[in-house]
Amino acid sequence: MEFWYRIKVNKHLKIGNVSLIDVVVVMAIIVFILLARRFSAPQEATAAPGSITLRYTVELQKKQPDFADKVQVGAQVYDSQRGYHIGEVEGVTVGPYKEDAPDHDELIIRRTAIDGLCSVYVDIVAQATVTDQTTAIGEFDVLIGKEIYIRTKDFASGGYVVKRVVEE
Amino acid sequence: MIIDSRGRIAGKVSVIDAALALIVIGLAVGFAVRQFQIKPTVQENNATIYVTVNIEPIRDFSIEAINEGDIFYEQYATQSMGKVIKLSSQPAKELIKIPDGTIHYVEMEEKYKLTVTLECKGIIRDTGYYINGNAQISEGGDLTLQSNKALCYAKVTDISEQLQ
Repeated sequence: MEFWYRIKVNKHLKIGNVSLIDVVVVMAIIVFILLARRFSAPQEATAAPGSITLRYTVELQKKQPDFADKVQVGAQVYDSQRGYHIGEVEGVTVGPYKEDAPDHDELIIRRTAIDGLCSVYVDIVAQATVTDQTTAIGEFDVLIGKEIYIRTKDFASGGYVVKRVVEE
Repeated sequence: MIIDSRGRIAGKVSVIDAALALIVIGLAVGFAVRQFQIKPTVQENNATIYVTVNIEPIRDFSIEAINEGDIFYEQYATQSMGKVIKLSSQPAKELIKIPDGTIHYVEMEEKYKLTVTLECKGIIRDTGYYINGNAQISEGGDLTLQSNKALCYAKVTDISEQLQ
C-alpha cells in the first residue's frame, strides 16, 4: 500500500523517467499476447472423451507410380494446414488415375485411365467424435467428399476423403 | 501550437505514443466487441419447407454417403437445415464441343447427379424463405451442405410448401 502512494505522475505524464503512455501500451501488448495464446488453435487434435475409432481413406490423385513407396504403414499423419495430428497410416493401395475425356463419336465423357500416373489410397485410423453435424478428430472434420491436405514425415499431399468407417 | 517542436501534443504526449495508444485501444475495442457480441436470437420456425437440391457431378463414394434420414447442415451453421426425405440419382451431364463446332449435353461416365429433397423448418415471409429463421435460401442459390458423413456442394432447384 505504501508503494502505491509513492507513484506520482509528473506534468510530463511520466512516472519517474518512464512515460505513462509507454507503460499503458506495453501492458496492452502483453495482454494481447496472452489472449492470442489463449485463443489460438491447438497444435494437436486430441481425442475427445467418448470418442470412437474412425477409419478413413484419402485419395491422392495424379501421382507417379513410386509415390506409394513414401506412404509408410504406422506413420503419423498431420493436417498440413494447421498441424493437427489426424491419425496413423494403416494401409496403402494404388489404383489407376482417371481423367474425364470426351468421346466425340459416342457423345459421352469417359473416365479414362492415364498411363504413367496413379491414384494412391491412404488408409488412416484415428480416434474421433461423431455428432449430428460432423465426424471430427478434435477440431478436424473428416467427411466424405471433403478435400484435405495431409503430411507425414515422408510426404505431403492433398486429396479427397473417399471412405469413412466408424466403429462404436 | 498543438504539436510542439519536440513532437509532443500540447508539450506533454509524444505523437508516436499517442498514435500507438490509439491503435492499441482500437484493436482492444474491436476484439471486445467481437467476443461479447450479442448473438442473434433464433426465431421460432413454424412452417415446413421442402427444399430440393442437385449435387453434381459426384462419384459413387459420395452417393453412398448420402441416405434418406440423414440430417444436413449448412457448413458452419449452428442449426440443422433439414432431413433428407427423398433422393434419386442419374448420370451427370456436361457440355462438350465437338470438331464440327456443335455443342452437346452428354453423360459422364462414373459421375452422377444426386437430387435430394430436404424437409426443413423455417419461416415464410414476403421476402422469401428463411430456414431456421435465419438463413434465407432461394432457387438457384448455392449451398455447401454437410452431414456427419459427407460434405457436398449443392444448387437449390426448388423450394415449396408441398412435397412434390
